[in-house]
Amino acid sequence: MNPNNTPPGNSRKLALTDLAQHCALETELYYRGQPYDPQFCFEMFRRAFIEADQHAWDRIYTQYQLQAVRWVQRDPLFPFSSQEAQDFVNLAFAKMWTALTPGKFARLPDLKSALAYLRICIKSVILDDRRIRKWVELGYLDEVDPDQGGTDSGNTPEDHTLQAIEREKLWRLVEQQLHNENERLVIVAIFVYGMKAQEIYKQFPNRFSNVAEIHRVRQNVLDRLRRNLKFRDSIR
Amino acid sequence: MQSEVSMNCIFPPELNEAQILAYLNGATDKQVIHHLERCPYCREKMEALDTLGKQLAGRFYRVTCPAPLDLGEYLLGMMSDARAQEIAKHIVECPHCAVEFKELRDASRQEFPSREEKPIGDTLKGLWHNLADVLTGRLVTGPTLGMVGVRGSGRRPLIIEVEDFHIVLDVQMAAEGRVTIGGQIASQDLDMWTGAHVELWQAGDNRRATIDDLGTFQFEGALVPGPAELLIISPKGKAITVPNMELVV
Repeated sequence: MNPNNTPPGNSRKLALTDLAQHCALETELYYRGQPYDPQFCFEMFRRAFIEADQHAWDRIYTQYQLQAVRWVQRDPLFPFSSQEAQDFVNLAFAKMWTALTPGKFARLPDLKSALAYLRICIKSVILDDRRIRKWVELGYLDEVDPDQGGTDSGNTPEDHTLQAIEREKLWRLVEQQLHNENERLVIVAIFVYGMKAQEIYKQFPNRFSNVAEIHRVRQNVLDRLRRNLKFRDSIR
Repeated sequence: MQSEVSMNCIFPPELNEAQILAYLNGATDKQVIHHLERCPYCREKMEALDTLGKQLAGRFYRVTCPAPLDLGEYLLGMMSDARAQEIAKHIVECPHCAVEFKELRDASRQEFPSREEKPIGDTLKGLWHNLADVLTGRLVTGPTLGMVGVRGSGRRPLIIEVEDFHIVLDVQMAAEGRVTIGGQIASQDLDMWTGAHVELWQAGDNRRATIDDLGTFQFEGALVPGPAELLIISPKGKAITVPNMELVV
């Protein structure tokens, strides 16, 4: 049902400008709690992701970005973050544009699911920010100054990506030194998840006799790693 | 073989790595604590192990964790079965991803766009960029300054000319120096404007009204005199903007 009585499915024939206008009006009806027709807004998503129509994507951004900013501002993690709400929104839209392939879009049957994906993109960039802040806190990354594109030591977002690639390479080296599932579990739990031995034992009581065994497993693996030249050179 | 550390343990037997690791994990063995307080050699061993542990923790923190968006796509059922199984297994094992998955799930259940937090003033302004058919109204007459309170002076309404019709705004004095506004559309095609959404924009404030079937509208409450902008959108998407108005009685 829509105020202009456009038959269902007719949205595909509309010019983008008209489509965007209908989408705006139907969204207004949605806000007022009145019956609304989602086909127009969903058609803009379809054109953006199936036909790779950048102009349709621009219209979607215009339609939803203000509400997205407010959504970010309400997020409990936002007060602790390092970025402005608009920055998160821009990152989220960029993430959706690159991540949502035509194959994935085919799994979104309607406007509600497309907006759920947008919502997930918004939350995910906020979670990305929290992970990065944790790495900075652990001393692994320097803070990035977005105004200057990096710190004095040259830590730009691109540097972060390169560091991520390097650490994945180093991690694969570590994995090659692990002899069994218990060793994998201990090393992953301690160094990837940041768990203490007592926490590991509590979570996996059937895998280890006691906490001391977890310490022994860790010690054996670290000894093995320290004897590995490649690993020693990489960790410096 | 000479140790890299020049000293030896001054209270043998020296602490082994298992004891040191237990200490670093928060174990409170008094003998170990006492030994570390007094023995520089074992303390240095402890610090070296601690440093290595922190280097590895910093380097490998969350290295095997899927990205938050991957967790989100798993939540929405958008992954292949094989990848979904990997992520499901990881969420059981990893406390951080378990928390993030819950945060994503909570976020996915929130309404978006939110009816309850409809952005004040953003709706029409947000619509603005998507509307092709926008008319600009022109103020043709306004009230004369200083005439309020003068007997017999009356008030002169604001008259806005838009193509072939007019909008009349009746600005009246209210308490504490504020004003109230009632409006009237004077048009041959009144049906087109019935149900139209009207917003009055001022710095720091925004008021809404709807045009009834007589073509009238009223903003609730009193407004502050001063610069304002009027926006009207009809149910069929025809829009009028009247910028640079001055609300003066």
